[in-house]
Amino acid sequence: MISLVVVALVALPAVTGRDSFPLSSYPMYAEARPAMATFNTAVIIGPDGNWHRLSLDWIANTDDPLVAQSLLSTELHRDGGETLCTEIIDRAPNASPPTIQLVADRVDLQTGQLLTRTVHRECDP
Amino acid sequence: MIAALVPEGSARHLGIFRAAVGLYTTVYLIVRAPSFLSLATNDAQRFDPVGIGRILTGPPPAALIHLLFGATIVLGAALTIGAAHRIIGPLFGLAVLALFTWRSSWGQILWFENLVAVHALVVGFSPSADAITWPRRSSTAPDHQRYGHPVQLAALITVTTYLVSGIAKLRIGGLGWATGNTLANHIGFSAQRLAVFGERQPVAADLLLDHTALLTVAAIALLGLELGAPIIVLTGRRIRWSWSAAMVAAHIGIALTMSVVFAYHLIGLAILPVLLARDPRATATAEAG
Repeated sequence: MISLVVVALVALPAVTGRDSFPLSSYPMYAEARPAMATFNTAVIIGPDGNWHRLSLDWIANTDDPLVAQSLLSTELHRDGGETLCTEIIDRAPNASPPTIQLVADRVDLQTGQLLTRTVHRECDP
Repeated sequence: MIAALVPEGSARHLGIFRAAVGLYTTVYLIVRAPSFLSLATNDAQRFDPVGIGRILTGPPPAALIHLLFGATIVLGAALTIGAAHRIIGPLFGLAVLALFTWRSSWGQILWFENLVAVHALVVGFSPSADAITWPRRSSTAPDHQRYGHPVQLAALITVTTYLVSGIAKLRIGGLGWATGNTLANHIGFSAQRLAVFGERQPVAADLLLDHTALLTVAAIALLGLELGAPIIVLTGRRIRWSWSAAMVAAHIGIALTMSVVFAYHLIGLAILPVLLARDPRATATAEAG
């Protein structure tokens, strides 16, 4: 009986539709994903105008891409990325403040080709 | 029928599961300490409590988190050796639940910790330290339902998570999920998500992306393993081991192609209770005999 109750509790979030912990209803990798996707991320613009990607650690102080992805999404929604920009610049390894952009990259999932880039915010040094 | 629902079990099997959960959690916390502790000083505005954390109006003070973190490691070590279990067990289960809930309350639920937290509650609130303890007990507890039930419960929870995953794939992705293209796009998504953060892509992603026929076989096999999971707890030893080996292989494949590492599942601890639970048919046969 206790087993059935616990199993029911584990399945409960699937019924209520509210993701939580430790009972989750998130359908991980369940959708039929299209061949293109848009990712929020951050890039650094060099003096020569070329851009380079920032690491997970630099952007979000984490080694988990899920956490970084979630942080970018939340912060862009909350204040347009202003707070996150400050944190990223504070974590810059060099004394001279770099030019950082928070961007949304649309990518072909099979080839990795960058299709389009939208600049959410250019971080003020 | 009753034997199938509440089978007898050995104190030794339950003790093995307890020690495994305790050791895993302790090592996991030590290895991931920087990740946990860096959150303690996170921007309070990012606190988005989930689960039991919803009773909080704001993030707990960093000092309290440091205390909880240290205490959980000590409790985990004590649980591993089976010390003072009537006190340590429940405290460990609740501490793991509280700590992992707090960690998932910063905008991203960390799904790879869900099953560990639930299993920690099972071993913490069951008589799981009547064997496999240090120092070793002088007497051996006879088989009893109180030992079989927690292992069976943990096994049911594990197979339910797989069943729900399989149902979600069919319900949301439809039969199209079983085509190699969908799985290829999931692998590509994980690879590109790492790439946009300047990280190295999964070692086997490119290899599999060139072979969609192989991915179709993998997708169908994974669906079969997940949807068939509940039946496994009613089967004999050979089928359980085969299914368990296939699930571990699936997690290894996912790690190599998508860099999605569910360590608790990958090293076989998630399916350990499935292997330790007594075959209910054997129990029923023994009772009939």
